[in-house]
Amino acid sequence: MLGNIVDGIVLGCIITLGGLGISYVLLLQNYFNFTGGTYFTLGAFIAFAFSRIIPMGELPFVTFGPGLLLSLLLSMILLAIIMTAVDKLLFRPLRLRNAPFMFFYLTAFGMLFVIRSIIYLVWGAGTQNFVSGLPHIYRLPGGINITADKIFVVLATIILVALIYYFQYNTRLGKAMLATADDERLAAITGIKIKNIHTTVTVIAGLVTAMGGVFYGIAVQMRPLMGFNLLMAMFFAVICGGHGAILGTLGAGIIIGVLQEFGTVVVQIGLDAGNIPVEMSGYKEVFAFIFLIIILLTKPYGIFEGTILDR
Amino acid sequence: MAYLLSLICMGSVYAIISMGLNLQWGYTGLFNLAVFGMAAAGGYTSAILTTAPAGGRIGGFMLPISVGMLAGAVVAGILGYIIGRITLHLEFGFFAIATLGLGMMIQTILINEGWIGDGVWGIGAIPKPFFHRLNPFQTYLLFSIISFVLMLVVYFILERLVKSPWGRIQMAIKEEEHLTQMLGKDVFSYRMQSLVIGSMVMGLGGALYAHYQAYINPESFNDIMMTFIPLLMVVAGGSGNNKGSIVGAFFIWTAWSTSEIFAGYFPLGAAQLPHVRMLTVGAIIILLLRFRPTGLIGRERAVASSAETEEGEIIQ
Repeated sequence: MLGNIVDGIVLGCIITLGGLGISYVLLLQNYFNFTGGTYFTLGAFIAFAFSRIIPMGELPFVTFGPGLLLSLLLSMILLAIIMTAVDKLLFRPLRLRNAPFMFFYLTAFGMLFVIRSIIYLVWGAGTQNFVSGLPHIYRLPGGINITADKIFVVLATIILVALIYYFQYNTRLGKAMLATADDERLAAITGIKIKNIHTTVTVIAGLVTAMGGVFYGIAVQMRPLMGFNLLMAMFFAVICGGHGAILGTLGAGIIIGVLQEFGTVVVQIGLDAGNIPVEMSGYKEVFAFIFLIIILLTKPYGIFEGTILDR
Repeated sequence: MAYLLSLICMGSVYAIISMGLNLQWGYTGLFNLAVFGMAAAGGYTSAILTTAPAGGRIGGFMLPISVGMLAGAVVAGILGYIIGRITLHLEFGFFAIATLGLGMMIQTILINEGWIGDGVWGIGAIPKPFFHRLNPFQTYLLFSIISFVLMLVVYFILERLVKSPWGRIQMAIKEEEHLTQMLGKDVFSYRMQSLVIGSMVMGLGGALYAHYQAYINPESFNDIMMTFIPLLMVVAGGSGNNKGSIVGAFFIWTAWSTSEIFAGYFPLGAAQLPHVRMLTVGAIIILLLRFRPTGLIGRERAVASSAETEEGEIIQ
């Protein structure tokens, strides 16, 4: 039971990273990026390709070595370049001619399938792992089994979120970004270069998304549909956390991660007690989606509204 | 010849589904991504009602095929109503997310609950009309005629609907929601009607698909084949135009199925071929949106027959 909560927190951190990528696009361009989940997968698989070339090396405690960290860095840069190129080629013309919302959604939906097919074509439909060895499992009291890899994922996520938070609220560029999100015309009048802001946002989204994908590969494993299956949880993190609120996204991400891992176990126990033959492990994504619907119907602009989490 | 018949059958199936989507998306402006859920509801209902009994799942009622198809449409319509009750109040983007999630939910339920349709193994031996009295070729011929006629019937019904005042209100909702509301129209109710009718048409298409393939599993109603391709057909033909949807459906399906012939010339395995097709289709939809957002045919003018237009006046 407690172990499921820990697993949920790890998953929540990964969801947060994917959600932040979607959240940044939403903040500035006002559409929900359906491609976010698939970019997440692409980032993981690019890092996988690099990790085949770069010698792994060794690090204390964790199963992977510095080689993986280097390929993580390269994959983050490459995904940021890809996302910026897509933004410049496909979405910028739409923004320039003030196209209706549905064109943004359709293009994002089309990109989803293009990128998914590229992943299938290059890496096949099977599952992949960064390292073949089994990690050492630390058994703590209360049934908590945790690996050093998962602790690394959580710590790295928290550091990254702190960095982004600092960047967003304490630097010139971050504040310019907020101003642009608030009122693009007014921001342009004060001398902010809107074009650069859009590029910055897409680059940050790319960096964060690739990191989330690689972390999922480290903590669980890589599948071509992993990002798409986490898409509903990511949308939950974005919407429930408040659009564009960084700490809110982290909070909501951890909530949905715990609900997905711990909540399904609780429901399973309830179902077993009532002799209802339903296997909840197949419904984890549906479980996340049900909470997403509840949030959409009650508080579509986030539950952390007006708190410190929603600055 | 058999190839041509299969083209007609599948083209009609996709034309029906595309027209259902076109009513929701092209006329009312609902970005419904649960098409695969609706089609699966229709297909599974019809399959369960018309097949012979089988162990481990419900069904085996051996009802006539027409009853199965009608029931499929009705169940899809009910599903559309439920989805509408939940999601229709939401904004554009939220609605898209919610419908995509509901479609995924229906697929997950079909995969996990073996008692509905044997899970991933699916339902087989779904009958075609009069198949035990005719030889295989005659069965196919009859089925292609039936599906083509069914498609024309759906076309005329939908065309009648969208040419009526009802259809013009739907278009007004797409363009100016608040203005329509101020004119005293119940926007929610009109949207719900469009969603339910469109879902019924999609369910009919899904049922027809199940009878044509004679075997269905949750993967035959996946998000690529049953949401993405109809969406592409609607966009290619020009959203807000039923003729466009039909032309788009036949055009895209011909391109899709003939691409199998060219596959032999590429050094690719059978496992990779579907993904090359998917890549091509995705690229086409993006390029269409980029360079020809109105589609191949474009949108028809919507003018009431009683309204007088001046010569040379441009109506968009």
